[in-house]
Amino acid sequence: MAGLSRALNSLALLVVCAVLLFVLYWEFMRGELPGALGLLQRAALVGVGLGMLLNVRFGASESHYGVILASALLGAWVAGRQMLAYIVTAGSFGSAIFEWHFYTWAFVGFCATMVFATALLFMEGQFFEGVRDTRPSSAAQAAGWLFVLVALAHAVSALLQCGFESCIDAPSGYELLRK
Amino acid sequence: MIVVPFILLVIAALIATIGLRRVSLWVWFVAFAAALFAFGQYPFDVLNIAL
Repeated sequence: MAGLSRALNSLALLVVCAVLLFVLYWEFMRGELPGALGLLQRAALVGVGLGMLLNVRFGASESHYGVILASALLGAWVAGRQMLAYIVTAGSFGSAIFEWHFYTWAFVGFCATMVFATALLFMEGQFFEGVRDTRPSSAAQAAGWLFVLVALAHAVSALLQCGFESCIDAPSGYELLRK
Repeated sequence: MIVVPFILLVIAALIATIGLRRVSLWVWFVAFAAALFAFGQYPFDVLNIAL
């Protein structure tokens, strides 16, 4: 059971890395910078990935799933707030992919993450081993380092865009590079 | 301000990768609080009027 849980968390971590890489591609290749709420949704997704990384690295623990669920809840909250604001003002922000905007996909994705983490919590056998600092497989180690690098790229992007000040809603460029 | 949770999350991921689980969880907790604070700073006027 612990092996299955670790495999599912590794797979989910790779999906999180792929989504984070895709939004970076969209930012740099399409020139669409995220707004303040978009950045918060990215931070929440990095938090989700961190919980999965902890499950892969140390074995399953309730607190690791707590990290995933709390981060996904925050992400869904922020994405839901953005969706509602655009419904109220009858507007939108950024491109649509398969007719949905990024914040709508984010809301659905965070809700799916909560369902996924809740389902995994029912696999009680994964908790019998307890947490321990085991040497992870090379694939899990590579996924972990990939996640660290992708999270770092997002941190640098957010730093260039906003510096240490509040971000604006519809950014036109990287504030730090203009100075 | 939004950059703070990002930096803390990268530190938490790095710490987890090198094997310090509890420290990583504490750093995540601070990052989560910083993200909540940043979200709280965001104006809610449009929604408040609508709701």
